[in-house]
Amino acid sequence: MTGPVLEIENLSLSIGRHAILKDVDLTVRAGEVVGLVGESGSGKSMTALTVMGLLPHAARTAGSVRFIGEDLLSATEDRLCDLRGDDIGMVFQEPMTALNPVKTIGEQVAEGIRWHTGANRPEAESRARAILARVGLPEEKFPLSRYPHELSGGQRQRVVIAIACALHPKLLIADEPTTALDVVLQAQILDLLRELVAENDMGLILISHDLGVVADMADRIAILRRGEVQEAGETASVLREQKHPYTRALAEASTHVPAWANAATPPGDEHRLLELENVARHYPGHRKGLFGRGEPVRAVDGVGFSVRAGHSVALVGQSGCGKSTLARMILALDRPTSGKIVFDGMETSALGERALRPARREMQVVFQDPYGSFDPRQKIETSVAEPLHLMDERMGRREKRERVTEALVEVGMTPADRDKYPHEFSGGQRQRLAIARAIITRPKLVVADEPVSALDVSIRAQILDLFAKLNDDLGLAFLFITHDLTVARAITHDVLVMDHGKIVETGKTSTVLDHPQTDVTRRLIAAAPDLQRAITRRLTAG
Amino acid sequence: MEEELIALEHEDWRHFTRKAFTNRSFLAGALITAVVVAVALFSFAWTPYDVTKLVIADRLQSPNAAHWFGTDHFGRDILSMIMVGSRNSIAVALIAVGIGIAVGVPLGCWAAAKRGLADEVLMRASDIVFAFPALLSAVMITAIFGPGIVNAIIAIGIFNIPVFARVARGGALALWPREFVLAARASGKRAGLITVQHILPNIANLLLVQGTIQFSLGILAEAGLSYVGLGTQPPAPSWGRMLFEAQTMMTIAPHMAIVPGLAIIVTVLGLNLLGDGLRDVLDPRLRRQR
Repeated sequence: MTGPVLEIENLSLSIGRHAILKDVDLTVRAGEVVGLVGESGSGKSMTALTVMGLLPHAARTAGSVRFIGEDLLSATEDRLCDLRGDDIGMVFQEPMTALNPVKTIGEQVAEGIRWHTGANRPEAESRARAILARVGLPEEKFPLSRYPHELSGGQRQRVVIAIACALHPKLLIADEPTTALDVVLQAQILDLLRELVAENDMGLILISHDLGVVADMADRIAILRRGEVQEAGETASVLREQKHPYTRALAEASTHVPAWANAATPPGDEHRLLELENVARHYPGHRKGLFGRGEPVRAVDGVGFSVRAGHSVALVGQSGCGKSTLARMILALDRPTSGKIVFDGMETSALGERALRPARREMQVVFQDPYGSFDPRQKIETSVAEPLHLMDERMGRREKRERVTEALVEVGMTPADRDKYPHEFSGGQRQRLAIARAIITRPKLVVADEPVSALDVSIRAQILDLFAKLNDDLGLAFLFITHDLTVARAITHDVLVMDHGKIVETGKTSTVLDHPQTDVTRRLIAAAPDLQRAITRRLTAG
Repeated sequence: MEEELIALEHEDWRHFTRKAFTNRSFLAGALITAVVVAVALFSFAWTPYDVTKLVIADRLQSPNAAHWFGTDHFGRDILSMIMVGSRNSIAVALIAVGIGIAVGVPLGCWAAAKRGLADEVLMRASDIVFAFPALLSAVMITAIFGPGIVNAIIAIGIFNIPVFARVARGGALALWPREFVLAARASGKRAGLITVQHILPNIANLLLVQGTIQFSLGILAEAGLSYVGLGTQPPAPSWGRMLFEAQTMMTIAPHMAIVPGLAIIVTVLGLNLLGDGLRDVLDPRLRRQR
């Protein structure tokens, strides 16, 4: 094995009075993938930014960061500029914002090449063409003149990788490169990164909160918590032996299955709470010229299914398959182009806003983003009490307060939280508050759109427990919209697999996931990161 | 990163004041504006001289101990006229901003909530208003309906309407797809209620900043209209009229022009600084770049 590309020794970092990193050691060799795992706030991203020399001005560092023998902490900004994008590349989490929206992908890839090598325009463009083809965007289908908005999330992330790898860096830092992508795209991007590492003999630091992803990819792994490395070593041995309690806790949380009394036998009577008949939602096609329009986009295309009272159902599929559009129609936030949605005996797809009130009372929603779910200027009490607006009789302040308190306690928060503002809570706590808001009217159905995908694994486990408890205690029916099959497996009775606006497979969750009948489902299952499977494969391979 | 940004989005009042007191342009702007407003209020109680009394014997005095800013060609004390004139400037600009907010904000919010045809019609209408040079059209309106302070207010106010409509619409459009608004819709709240409870509090910052900018533009517009004789009518003193009257005396009594000119400049500068400062203090994204 060749010498180390990157050596971090005793790295400490503080910003103002806050210590961010404490004595971090990390070594990356050429051709090696090192996984950096930790929950939010553990200092993963800060470690990456330190290596890139992109820390905020107030940051103070101690220790050493050596890149092929050269000290990066004392390097001048000019020297760092030469290194960044040339010898050290970086891939960010959010492919939507990592690209400049007003420049074509060709320009953006060629820019770095011209800057660092002094190549002329045609030369840089031909190299850009080659690297874009390498990352899976061949010119015949994706000409250099495309703009970022013309590409999907996965394709954009490929462009970001192309920019980072255009000059064959010796070190690539990928900070949660697949977190914003669905499982199928995630698997594709990870494959691509793996291939690029092997081809170019790069060192790769893969930063992730997902043990499954890291176990699959990394040769060695470092587990970070509150700025300190808890455990580091060969991936297979660290994850199999789980010597360190924190490693064990993380591993358990990421494969967590809640204790759920109703897991086998759904509560409630068998009547159909929600029924969809041939529901479709079409959006007008792109304008072509002054009057013409292209083919309408069939976001949801003839969907029919039912959810029985007390059942927990997962709606799974890749991003862009129409899951969220369907959810909005079920919640009567959008109307179907055709078809019928019947909820609790009411045809909600045909009702006006006033007539919808009884239906709205019985169905509530939990969103993915715990930060966007609350009005930043309202106290928690006001936000959580919002659905009480749907009650027929006007409620007094005191009664409202009691209901809010009750809901908060049910989701594991305290009555004192009523008077706080959303920013005073962590992501997990906000998701609990969002659930409190969803259950305050005692609905029969809660639609949850990726309710745990933005959360850390330990928090995620707690929120899944909470959903299980609510199903046990209140007999709530759930519709989970997710691309994460472990969520489906952990917390649902039935599963619906959606693809290109259509439901392609339905059945009991365990049956469908263990014996998939369609390619779509098989693809989803194969792509899903699986900690156990990854460890086993590492052990047998090594 | 995201978390940090959002945490900054809802600063509480304490944070706000701390930020405000370390922002120099906000402090300077607030101070100047406070002094101008204080002077205007104070003029109701007391002015050094009576501005309606003409003392021809004292005319065209340069600034001296008895008349700090000198006197004009009728012997009126310029300091007193500036003080009284500030009332008109502030009143006209303030009411015009009020008209703009009272009509523009509901229109903008309505357009954002409705979208579609209503939105399209409203925005094209505001394009049309924008296409006219504001001051020229104000001259036209006052020329048709007669000169006077009320018509000046209406004329300036009309041009504030599309400004506030656009700002409100832009802010509201960005909020409507947010999840907390969706949650409110899922709670059966109508667009109007959502606008009052969620949209308006979240665009108040934007409106406040725009308000100070329009306020300073209003002061300029009032001065401009009065200068051409279509705003405040004599004998009520006004900064714009004072400038007009000074025009012929420029060579013999330059202070007659300099003092009201400075008053306008300082007031507008103060308001602009206040607006810039407010924007920096209230907008977390801009602040991060500093």
